[in-house]
Amino acid sequence: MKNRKFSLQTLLATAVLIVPFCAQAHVSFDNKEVKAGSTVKFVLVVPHGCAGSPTIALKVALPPELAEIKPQPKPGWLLTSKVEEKRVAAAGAEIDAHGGHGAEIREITWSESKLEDAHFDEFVFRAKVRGSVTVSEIFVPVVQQCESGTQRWIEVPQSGRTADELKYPAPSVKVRPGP
Amino acid sequence: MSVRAPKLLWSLAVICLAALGLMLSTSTVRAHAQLIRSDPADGILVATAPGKVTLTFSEPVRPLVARLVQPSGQIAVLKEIGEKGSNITLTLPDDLENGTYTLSWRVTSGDGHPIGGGLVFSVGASSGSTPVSVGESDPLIRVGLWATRLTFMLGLIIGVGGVGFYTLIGRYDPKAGEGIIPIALSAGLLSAPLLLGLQGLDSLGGPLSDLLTASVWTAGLYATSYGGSISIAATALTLAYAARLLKYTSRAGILLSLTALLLTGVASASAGHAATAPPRGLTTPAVFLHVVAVLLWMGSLIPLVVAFTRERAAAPRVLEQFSCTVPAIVAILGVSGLVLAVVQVRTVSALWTTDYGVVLLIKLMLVASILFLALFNRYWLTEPAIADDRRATRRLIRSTSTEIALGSVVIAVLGLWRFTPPPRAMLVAPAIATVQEAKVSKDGVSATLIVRPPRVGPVSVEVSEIRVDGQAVEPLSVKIELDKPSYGIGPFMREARQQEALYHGDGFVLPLDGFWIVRVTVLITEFRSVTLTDVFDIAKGIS
Repeated sequence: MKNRKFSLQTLLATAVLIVPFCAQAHVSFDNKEVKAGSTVKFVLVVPHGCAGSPTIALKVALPPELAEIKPQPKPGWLLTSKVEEKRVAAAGAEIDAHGGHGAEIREITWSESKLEDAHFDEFVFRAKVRGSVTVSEIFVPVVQQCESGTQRWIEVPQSGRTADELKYPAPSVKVRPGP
Repeated sequence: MSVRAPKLLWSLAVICLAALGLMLSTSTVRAHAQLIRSDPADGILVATAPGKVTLTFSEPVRPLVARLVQPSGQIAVLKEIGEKGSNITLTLPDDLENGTYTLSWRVTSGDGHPIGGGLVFSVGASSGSTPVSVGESDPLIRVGLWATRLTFMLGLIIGVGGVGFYTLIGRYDPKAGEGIIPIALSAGLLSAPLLLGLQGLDSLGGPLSDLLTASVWTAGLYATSYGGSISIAATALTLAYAARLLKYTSRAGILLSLTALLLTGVASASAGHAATAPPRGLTTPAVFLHVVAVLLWMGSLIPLVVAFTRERAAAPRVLEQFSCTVPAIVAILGVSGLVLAVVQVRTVSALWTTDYGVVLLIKLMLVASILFLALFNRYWLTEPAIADDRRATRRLIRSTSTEIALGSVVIAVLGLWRFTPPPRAMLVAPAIATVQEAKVSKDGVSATLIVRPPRVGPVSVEVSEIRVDGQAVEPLSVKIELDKPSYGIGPFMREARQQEALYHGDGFVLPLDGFWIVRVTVLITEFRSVTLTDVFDIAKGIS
């Protein structure tokens, strides 16, 4: 009996040690986990401006782990994207499974509007997580442009470290192995 | 011992663990509050002395401590630092004379994480370099700090290490007591608050009579990186004490003791110049392993002597177990120590040409004699002692006691390191040199950093030869930060001005000598930046 109580308390203490606080004030994904090989709607949450200044543009750089990118237009915002040709050769046949076009969006920009610091908003794109991904977490660097100043959410933790130690971590999602 | 007492202590330990958990988890959520502007602005020259400084943050913060370094070099802790809010008003002393002032502040943001920064402003005209007297705390405080730290460290080594021995190496419950282990644990726990207070005094530069004021304790806990480290180590002492009150062979006892050992390692790896030296990916684990190994090795010696003097029946088995485990521990100690020495000392000649090197050399000689005694014990005395040879046993007790004494001297000598900069930080002797140079590289990006002059007072930092994978590049921007976390001063941040391939950060005024951490953030493309870190050793001003 006594022993069981001890282990219960131990469990409690360990739980407190491990449970992370989830109060994120960074630009981050609404999605926490994605499955390799699946097509996912990625939702970027912008919780505030840059040190009080309203957001006027959001630039997203898409890493090679993501393919078949389709950004969602946002009323009031100008949507532009930068396309990179000939990624097919490097990435293999996987891309062509869906339509077979060789061009791939590598950068998305929503601009020419204003998101006040006091408000939050979501920016959405759809992408396929490559089935061949070997990483356990995908980082998507984001640059937040404001009326005054720019916030670069582009820091990627070194191997063995967590994003928690960074000041401006790139938004990320964890990858689960696919079917 | 009544049955209730261990239960009480166990609960206490759980509370401590929970508190620590909270501390760790809140620190994982990065400080989010940011300074938006200050009035007067950073680097500005004002005609008449401002009565107050207003800091505006992006979210409400709670002010912790603010220090004003005056042109004379005197440090004043500001009495009125305002209430919690987005605007913090710091009231400056009335009679500010003309010259350059450095203001350093620490606040906690909403997520409980302390953040800090600094600003420089001049009244009337900017003054040149600041006088020598800056940063020298009372010798009594320095001696007190050294002695208290020694007590604290011995408490950890003898106490946590000793408990670690009983639970993990010897694996038995001594019937005739554990000698001075409980005393060491209590002494360590009692010295922790004093150490925090003295640390606060040292960082504020106040007199010893200030020890009982609240601002000193706030500074000790929050203003420097040692505050958190001491708190973690004190938690380790409490857990070890709880393990002692339970049975060493019980599962809970082993768990508590193991946690205490790991926490002590974490505490040492979270502060100090070895753990913060680049590359941190290498030095932080090295410090952790070094400390845990020291704890297990040195912590075993007292229980061994106790076993041979008071508990002859258990002694041979315990000695056998110790001599099986100790080679691995010493190997870890040696390898991690070597890594740290190479990172810190850089060149062999620095061993005798710098104070830091000399301290290391003395330590190595002491450690060598301990190792010699240990080998002698292992190969000449262990077997006869296990076979119950009286003479060998007496000699074993004597030589182990000598090892304990030498080990304590090593810790005492190491305490001097706090006052000597590592050669890594002073590759060029700063007193004579007009510049201090460091070549830094990380993640394929390399650059040369220069601080000019490496002295207290106005300095500029130059960044040149910025290369990505060996190719010269023109970065989008270069940001330079100077920080002295051990004293809670800074960080001071400047956007570098480009002049061809050279990037200048001007307008820094360093109020204190010693180590300053320099962080250079190079924005290579819109989506890629790398932060290079090194340590400069800043000399005192010209007298």
